[in-house]
Amino acid sequence: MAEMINGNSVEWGKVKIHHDAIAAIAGKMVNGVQGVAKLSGSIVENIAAKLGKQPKDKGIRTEVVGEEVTINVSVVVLYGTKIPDVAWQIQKNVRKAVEEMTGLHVKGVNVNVEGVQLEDKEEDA
Amino acid sequence: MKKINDLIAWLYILGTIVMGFVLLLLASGWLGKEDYLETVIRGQLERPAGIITGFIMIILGLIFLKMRLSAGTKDKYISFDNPEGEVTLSIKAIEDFVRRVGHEFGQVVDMSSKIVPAHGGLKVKVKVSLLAGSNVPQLTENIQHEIKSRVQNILGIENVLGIEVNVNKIIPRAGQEEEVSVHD
Repeated sequence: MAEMINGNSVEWGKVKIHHDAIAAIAGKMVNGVQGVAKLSGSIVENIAAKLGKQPKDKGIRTEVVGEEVTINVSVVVLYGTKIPDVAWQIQKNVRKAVEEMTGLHVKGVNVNVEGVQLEDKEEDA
Repeated sequence: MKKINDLIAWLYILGTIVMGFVLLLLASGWLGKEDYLETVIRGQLERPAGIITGFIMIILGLIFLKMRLSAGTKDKYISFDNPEGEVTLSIKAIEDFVRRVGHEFGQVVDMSSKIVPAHGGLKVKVKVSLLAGSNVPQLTENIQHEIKSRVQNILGIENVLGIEVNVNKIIPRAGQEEEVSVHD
């Protein structure tokens, strides 16, 4: 993923932000939310992770439309947590962090709950 | 009818990709170099044209495959909106959640669940194996109540249209006689 998101122009030139940077910020925020077991990657990402190549943007997809960014997050949540509350917390934290750290406008944060995991188990649904 | 349509679609996709590969291999000389399959059954298809056609067929097959797969995944999620964006829940996650709720009942030995999205909500169908000696009507009512309550409160899906419980087996407790199967 070599695409860059156009950031603000500054006095000495244009600032571009890599998708991976957005994904890293979002990923850190998502993992910090109580009730999130892990980010859920695609089949390819999971295979890559098993081969020792951990993708930086596992479970995070960014879409740019004009000057706005939409972030899609795929997660596995812990069993017993209130999913709407967890989703709301993810959306709030990701939006705040991405907007503060990059200056970009976040159009929306879409949360996909891919599975439910028991707290004491590694394997998800 | 849906199954027949699915079968036709998958055969078409598979056929397009396989034919594309065969044509590509024939035209490039990797397969049956001598007669180029009687110059593609006397259609007089030149090798470069054969290679290009093969490529196009493979690409079309892969496009159909992607369309088919993405159409399939749309049905596998339930979504609701909130001001910050869309929240989607995979059907698989809901099924697993329901199964785990059921297993919290001591008398439930085994449970499988199926979620059917319908009219802005969902229907839950579960099949259970219970321990002998359980009060089946009371237990199934409790299971229904608990599933409905958890789906609404924990998953945030208000519109639970129905919970169907099928008791498939009554499993004897240790030291009792063999299991009793109940058919729908």
